[in-house]
Amino acid sequence: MTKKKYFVYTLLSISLLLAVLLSAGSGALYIEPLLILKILLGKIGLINDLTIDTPSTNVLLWIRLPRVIMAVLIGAGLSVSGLSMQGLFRNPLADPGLMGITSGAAMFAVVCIVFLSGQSIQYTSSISGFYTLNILTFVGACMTTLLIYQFSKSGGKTIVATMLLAGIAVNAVCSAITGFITYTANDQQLRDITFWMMGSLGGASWNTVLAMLPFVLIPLFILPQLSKALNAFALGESEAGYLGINTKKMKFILIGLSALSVGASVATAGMIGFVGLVIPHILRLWLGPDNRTLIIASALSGGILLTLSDLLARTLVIPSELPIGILTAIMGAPVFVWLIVKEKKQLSLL
Amino acid sequence: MLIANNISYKIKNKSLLKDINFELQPGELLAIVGPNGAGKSTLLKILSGELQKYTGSVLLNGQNLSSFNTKTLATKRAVLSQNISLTLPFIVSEIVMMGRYSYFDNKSSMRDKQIVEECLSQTGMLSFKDRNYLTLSGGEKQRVQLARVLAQLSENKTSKSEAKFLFLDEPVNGLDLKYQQQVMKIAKDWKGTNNSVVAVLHDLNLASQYADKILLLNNGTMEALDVPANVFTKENIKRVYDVDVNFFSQSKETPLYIAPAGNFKSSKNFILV
Repeated sequence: MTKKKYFVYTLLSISLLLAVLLSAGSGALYIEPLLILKILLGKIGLINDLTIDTPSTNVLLWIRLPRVIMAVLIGAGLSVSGLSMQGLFRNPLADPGLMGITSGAAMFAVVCIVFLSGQSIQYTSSISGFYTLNILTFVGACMTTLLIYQFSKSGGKTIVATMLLAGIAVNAVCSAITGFITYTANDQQLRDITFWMMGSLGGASWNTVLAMLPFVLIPLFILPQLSKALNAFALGESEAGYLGINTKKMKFILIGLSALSVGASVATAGMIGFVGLVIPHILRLWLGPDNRTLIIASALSGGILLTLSDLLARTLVIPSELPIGILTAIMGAPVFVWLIVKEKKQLSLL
Repeated sequence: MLIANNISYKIKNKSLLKDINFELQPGELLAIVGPNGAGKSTLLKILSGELQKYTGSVLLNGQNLSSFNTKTLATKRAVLSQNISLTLPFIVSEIVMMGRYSYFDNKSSMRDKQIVEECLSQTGMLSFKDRNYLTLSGGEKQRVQLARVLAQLSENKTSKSEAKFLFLDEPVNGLDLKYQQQVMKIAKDWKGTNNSVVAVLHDLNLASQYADKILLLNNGTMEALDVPANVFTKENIKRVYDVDVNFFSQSKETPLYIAPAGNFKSSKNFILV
């Protein structure tokens, strides 16, 4: 297993690197992979190549690279938070988007900003502005997760139907609020709202990357250490407790960590659904359900998926851009349907 | 040694357990029996440390149960619950390895792997070790879970250790005759002379066959606590279950067989006592 684990990590890392090079090079101005490497090495002073032209350097460093890195971070964060939700709810159908956690996070931020300060949620450009937004979405994500967790739990077991219905309810409330804001919004606000609802990496800059980095990295460092406990959770809360796991503490940590990355990704890129459902599911088919392998593999694969999705979003309808949430939904919805059909027998028993 | 001191448990003024007292010596198997709703599972949850808002105290090897931390407690006692539902396709050996989770940080040792195989072979499931748990039958699943709790209580070292405790909540529920006997026999062999087992059982005959002591519960109170022959009397069973029974036996030495009166007659080698 360990051998296979490192093979998988290596394979996924190489694929991620290729995806990043491909995505960073593609667009209105094509930059060759080799040139990308040259520019990067030149930037850190390892080589001194005077043939590098400035337009390519500028496009790569100030437009493409922050955007690609953000795609990697958000993809990793979303799929890892999906994985920990599935561990917490003990069900492969749990997903931050379906359960209304992303929309809960978004709405909490919108309501706070629009109703409390009377301002629109435009792209703030200062780091502190991003942090405020990140923290608001984090609080929103935490509250929604806790709410849905309390709703869907009965006698130590998660009732899947209740979990999904609670998600529908949260999503309904959020779309009502969005509807209201849309109704009263001006032109600029309307554009912002569309961005929130469908997701886009268009706002990427080095500032946004820096602002979301800790929110994504903290869960990525802590979760692998909890992978045993996450495995044990699959047996049920009481069983995990009998096995020596402090379940109460574990629940709060899991909710907190997944809310961190969901919150950060909502704050910087709006609502991007299904990544947290699709990636862990496909990886489970390939590698089995052991979270000791799945967490890192999910982070890498999530990065690949979102980098490539963003590439498509940028290039499919040139010169315009597709909201990335539409693309992930097109890919994710069939997997969701497949999961439901596969789990039909089990679901009816729960 | 396990000591229960004056245990009482209430939910919203409704008393579920009242003044439970008993001592369990190393090498003893205690069966908790009683009608539905008597408080058997509640008592088991208190003894195993899951329920905490009770009055009275539970001592494991002289130490108060509530003073253990979760991880240490996991190396002293294991619990086999009924109806464990799993929705993720773990392989059998990983489920049993979960029993070892409190013994290692990130990577299991060779010894852990060895223990997993030993416990699987003890429950007759070794050939299933790479199978997807979700594809097993009910009886196979139960034997995997039994292997998991045995693995949880296996020592890393070979040296003799303090007494350990195994709690079984209706462990033979849904198992056929062969596996009922097998599961109880594994529990009995495991306890040897050093460890103790507490099992909630519905089948009085299984209890009388395997238990050293019977705790008969009714409406949350102790009706009797003694060796099987003294607890299972016509009067006790009539009073607690409201059923008339007869006792059969093959000879003086074999355990009594309890059957509802009127349905079973004695035969040549099975006599009404």
